[in-house]
Amino acid sequence: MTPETFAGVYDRIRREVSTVIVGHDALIEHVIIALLADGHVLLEGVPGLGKTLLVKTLAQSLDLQYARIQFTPDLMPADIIGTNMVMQDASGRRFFEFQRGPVFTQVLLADEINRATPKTQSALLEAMQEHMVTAAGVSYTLVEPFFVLATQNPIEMEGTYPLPEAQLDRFLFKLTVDVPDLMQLVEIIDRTTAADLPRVSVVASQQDVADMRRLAREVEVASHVKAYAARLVRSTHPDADGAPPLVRRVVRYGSSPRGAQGLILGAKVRALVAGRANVSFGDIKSLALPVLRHRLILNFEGEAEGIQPDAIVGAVLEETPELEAARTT
Amino acid sequence: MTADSVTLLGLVRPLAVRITAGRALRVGARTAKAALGALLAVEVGNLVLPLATVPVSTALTLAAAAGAILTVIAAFLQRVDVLTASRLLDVQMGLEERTSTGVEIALGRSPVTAMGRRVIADASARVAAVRGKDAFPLRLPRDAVFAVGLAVVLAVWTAWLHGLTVPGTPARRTTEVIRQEGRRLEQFAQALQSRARTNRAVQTRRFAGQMRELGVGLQDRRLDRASALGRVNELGRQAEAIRREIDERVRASRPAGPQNAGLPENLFRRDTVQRQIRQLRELASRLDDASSSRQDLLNRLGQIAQEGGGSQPADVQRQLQQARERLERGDVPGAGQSLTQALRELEGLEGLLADEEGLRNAQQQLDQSRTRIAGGTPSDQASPETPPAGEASRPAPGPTRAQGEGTSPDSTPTPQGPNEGVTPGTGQGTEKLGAPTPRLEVQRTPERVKGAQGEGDVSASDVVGAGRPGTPRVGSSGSEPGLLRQVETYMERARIPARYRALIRAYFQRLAQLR
Repeated sequence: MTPETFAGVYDRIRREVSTVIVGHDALIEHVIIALLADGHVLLEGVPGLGKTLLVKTLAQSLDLQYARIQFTPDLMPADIIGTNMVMQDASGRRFFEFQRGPVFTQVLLADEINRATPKTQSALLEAMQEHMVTAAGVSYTLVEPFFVLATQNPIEMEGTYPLPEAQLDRFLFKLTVDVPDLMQLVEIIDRTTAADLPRVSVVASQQDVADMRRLAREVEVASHVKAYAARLVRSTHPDADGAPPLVRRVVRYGSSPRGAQGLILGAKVRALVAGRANVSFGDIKSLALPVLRHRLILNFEGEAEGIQPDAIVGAVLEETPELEAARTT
Repeated sequence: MTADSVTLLGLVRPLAVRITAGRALRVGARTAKAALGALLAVEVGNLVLPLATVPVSTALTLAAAAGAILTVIAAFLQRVDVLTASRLLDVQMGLEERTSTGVEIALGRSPVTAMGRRVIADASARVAAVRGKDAFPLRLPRDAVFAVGLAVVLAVWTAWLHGLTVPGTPARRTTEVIRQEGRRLEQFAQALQSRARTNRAVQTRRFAGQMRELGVGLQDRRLDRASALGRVNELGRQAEAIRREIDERVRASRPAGPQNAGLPENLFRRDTVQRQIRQLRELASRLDDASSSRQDLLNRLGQIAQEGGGSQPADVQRQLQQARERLERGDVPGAGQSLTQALRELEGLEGLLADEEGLRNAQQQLDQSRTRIAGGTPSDQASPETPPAGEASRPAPGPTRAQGEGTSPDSTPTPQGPNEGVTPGTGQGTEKLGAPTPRLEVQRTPERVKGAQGEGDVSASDVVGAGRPGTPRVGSSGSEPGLLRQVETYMERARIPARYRALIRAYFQRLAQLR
């Protein structure tokens, strides 16, 4: 696959998803980038904004297996990964057989993930990181590509459990879904209340997705661009040298190294989407918010003052120079 | 290295040179600006402090030279490499890091892959479309404009305001000292000129004119210390040069021969020469007198030659020997001619010695002025100094004698003669003119008075007040110490900021009261 083919396939996927999803261009772009960068996405927004529809449409357009788990407070880990059941063969002999849970799919929608208890939420950890599931001492490999797209309601709502930090860190992007504006709302009404509903057709194969993922990793990154990404991540730590005053004041822990990896991987895909074979500072900057916003842990002062992580990432972007040593004057 | 890599590096290299040149120019301009700023600051500072200044032409030359040198040094030391140039080009022209990524691959920093070759080709195409003067224009640095402005201000200041001083400041005091020294040197030069005329010291008289001009020049209100010292030094050097020339001529008059090799350097003393002149004149007048016997004349001539000994110039000795031989042969007119010739030689020598003495005095005065101007200390004597008359001038007849004896404070001023200078004989030489007093060769024994340590009583007293019964001023209130202690512990553990603790404390206190 060449970069031109990559850009063409990407464009087809995006246009196909847009036939169903109204607006949310940046959201669609970031979700596809995360899929091609071999990452998972956490979508945050109030119910009814089309989060589930987006995931379903994406799976349909890529001809991938799709499964949905509705997280509820009484959901158990075995409900996600599966369980050993007692079976009986023709001779009447009983034996245990592993019944695969809904996690054995390619595109998994973990709907309202923050409604389940942390124990159940953590059942996804191994699947997301290792792309495998272990039950009763036996490991099962998931089919590639494996892509988790979790949605959550804002945690201020009743009956929600905040995701554990370890789980949050495994999401490449955290994206926020905004309420559509007036024109988009009218468009949604038109598309969903007419006699003919839009149909999604398959525009890329699983092989295409695998090739695109491989090509994305071959994109070149200059050393000073890598250094910039590393400086951005370092600046989210309150004890780092270049940390902005806001970070020093309200952040307790900054981003993990997964943040830097996520920045570079996402930027590589974005570069190919833009028709480039190299990563630019702009790619890094454009992905800093979705990559870093869920990796910051605020201290009491930050929580008490209601500081938004987006503001902290904005401050980090503003105060971290692109070129450290050489500058034009 | 592939052909595409070579092409890309070849495209970026001229840009690196261009960036280097631009940076070097900025460094040079900044240096020139700093140098001119410093020089202007010194000029302005001269309003208050007597600082050393340089002429405006020198200042401008210095600033330009400093700027040029730093430009060259910066061009060599701060050379921008290709990789840095590519990064700057990306930022400057918005090339989205194509060039820098391509250059890194071309330089072999990472293995060349198919994607890498695409990057290099893409970067080459982009850089080829960039014009160097658009990306990094070599415009006049802003600091250069500032430097030109400073140069103009410096020139205007030097032309119109140089030498101005604020009253009551060290700079004004130094100006006053310079003017005072100018007046003193002018008066000294007048006296020196008149005395040199009397002593027929041609070089001294000419030099006194220059010294007088210097004195007048030093009285210019706008003259700063550096310029004044420069002028004084220049004239001092001239005096030194003339004096050396005179010394050479005097040394040439020394009697030659191996038997005279051990003669002292200051062989000719002016008073000795004057005495010999008087003796020869007296002998010459006796030659004309018919009553003097030849034997008496021969004896006197022999006596004069013997008194002179080896301290007479070689020509004079020869002429005296010739006069003696002619007188022995009875050739009185011939002996008279030889004596006249010897007399002329001695008079010429006496003039040289007078020049040497006058110039030495002038140099001493210049040294004094230099010291006072440099130190900013005014002259401690009210009346101007006159050239001190050495011991040689004392026996001299006429006006010379009257001038030289004015050094004694008890002596009454000698009335002005008919052919004397403006202020003859009124000098009050207070400075030490003679040889320094020899140091005593004794061991210094400092004495110190030693006393016994005194002993006495030390008295101290403590004031102790009586206790006074009173009432506590803090009202009693119920509290839950255990609960509140727990609150404090948890707040400490959770690192709650201080400004929130009061709120939390009040909350739990309220809870405790409700319970």
